[in-house]
Amino acid sequence: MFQEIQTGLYVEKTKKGLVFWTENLLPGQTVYDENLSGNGALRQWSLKKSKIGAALAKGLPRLPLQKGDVVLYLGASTGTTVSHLSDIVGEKGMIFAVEFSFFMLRRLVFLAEKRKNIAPILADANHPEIYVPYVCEVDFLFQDIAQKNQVEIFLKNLCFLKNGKQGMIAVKAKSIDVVADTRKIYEHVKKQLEKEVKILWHRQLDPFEKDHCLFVVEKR
Amino acid sequence: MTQVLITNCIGIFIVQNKKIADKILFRHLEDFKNQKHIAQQEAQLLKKHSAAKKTTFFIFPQHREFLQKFFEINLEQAKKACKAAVRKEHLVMQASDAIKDIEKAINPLVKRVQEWYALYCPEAVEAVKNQEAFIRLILSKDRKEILKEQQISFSIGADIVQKDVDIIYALATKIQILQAEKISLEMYIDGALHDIAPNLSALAGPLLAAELIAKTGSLQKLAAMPSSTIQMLGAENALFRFMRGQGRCPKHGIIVNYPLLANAKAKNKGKIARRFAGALARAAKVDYFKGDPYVGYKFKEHFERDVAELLQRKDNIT
Repeated sequence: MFQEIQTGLYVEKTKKGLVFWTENLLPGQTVYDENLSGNGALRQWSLKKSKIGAALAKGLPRLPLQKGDVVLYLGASTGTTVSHLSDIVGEKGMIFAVEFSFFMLRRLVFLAEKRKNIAPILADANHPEIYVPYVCEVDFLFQDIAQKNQVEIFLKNLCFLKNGKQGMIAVKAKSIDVVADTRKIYEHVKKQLEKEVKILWHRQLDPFEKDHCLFVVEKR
Repeated sequence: MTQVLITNCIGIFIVQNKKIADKILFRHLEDFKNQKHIAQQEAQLLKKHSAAKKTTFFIFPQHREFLQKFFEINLEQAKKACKAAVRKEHLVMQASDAIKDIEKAINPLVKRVQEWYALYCPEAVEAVKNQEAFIRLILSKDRKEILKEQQISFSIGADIVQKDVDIIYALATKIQILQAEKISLEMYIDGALHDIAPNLSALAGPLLAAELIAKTGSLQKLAAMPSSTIQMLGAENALFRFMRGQGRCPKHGIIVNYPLLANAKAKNKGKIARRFAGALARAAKVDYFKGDPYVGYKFKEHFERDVAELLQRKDNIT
């Protein structure tokens, strides 16, 4: 039984728990080694490989994302999560996928050739001034970067987000401090974020992602 | 609301209150790279809209009709960036990793051949323990010659037919090819490092130098590292375990492969590793900034003298 949570996003209740599916932009084609359903019309959202997938499984009620939205995605990597967001925003939307490593970007370029709503950008998210000419205002901001100053980077990139729209940041505690208690790190991150934005929802992603915490924030 | 002039990858725009008042679109990506062209066009627009102010950091408002353009430009730019990003270091890193893979592959294969060949002639396996020498031996001489060499008249191995022996030789030949490939890779790395990191290569040897670069990701990152980090490269897990309060602090990471360090006594290892990492850090910095390509020998000499002094001092005390 598939139940539609929001346009393009479906949930299925199974014995093992909730399984999430997105409507495939290119029916029948896979991006990574995910399962397909309904003659390839739906793609299963991996909970272990994608932090948004893990957040959904941990009870994130809905994604602040609609068809036709423009997204800025920092730390796109090979495009696992990007592909699902591209399913949701559809052909009319656009995802600016920023990635620093050309090694990862290569996969993203091949993905972008097939899915015409992903715009790959080779840049360091730490320096938004470099990619400002290549990006426009966005409706949704997502960041998944394992850097020591990841919260700082997120706050720097908030300028791309429209007022009143939402963003998400996946914080990797071990990148900020290997030794310190993860809960203390999250507390600190929360304080840092609260100075600039309103925190709507946050949860640790165990057991899908170890020592990760996902924050949903709204720009004032 | 004031007017602002924005130049981005798709064109030059006069924006007022998030609406586009006027625009000049670029025909292709080259126009955006051409500073002269941009300056001309900007001046043209500013003449028309004298109230507009030029800004460099201003987010372009979202307009549906330009999204497709953004996509095309970014994809083109990303393709070019991917092409331009590959440097000689990346080739060396792959070669360095290939050597490691070959080493990993050879080891179980030789063991298999040893076990297999032992059914036929266990004397040869018993006599030659060195893997490379063993493969060379069985490929160059047959059982009779090997037995004769060792002055053994009766072999305890089974007398199997030639067809069964040939299949062992076939596998051994392929192992020998892999061993030769490893040597040619080492020579390739030696030659390639001569251009990109001569000092590091002179100080640490080409293989260790390539491994250090591969471990950090690039020469730039290695040059930016403090020597203490270089000392710990490859021992991250042990270091973090120590920082969490368990276990002892590691003295060295992959630099332990350096012969002088590998052969040192345990109590001296930390001291030598620290000195060696210091020399490596200096050499990496000189290499990255394209300094004197022969200074590495001087570093090496200095480091070796330093270590000799240290060992002498230690001996005198104890």
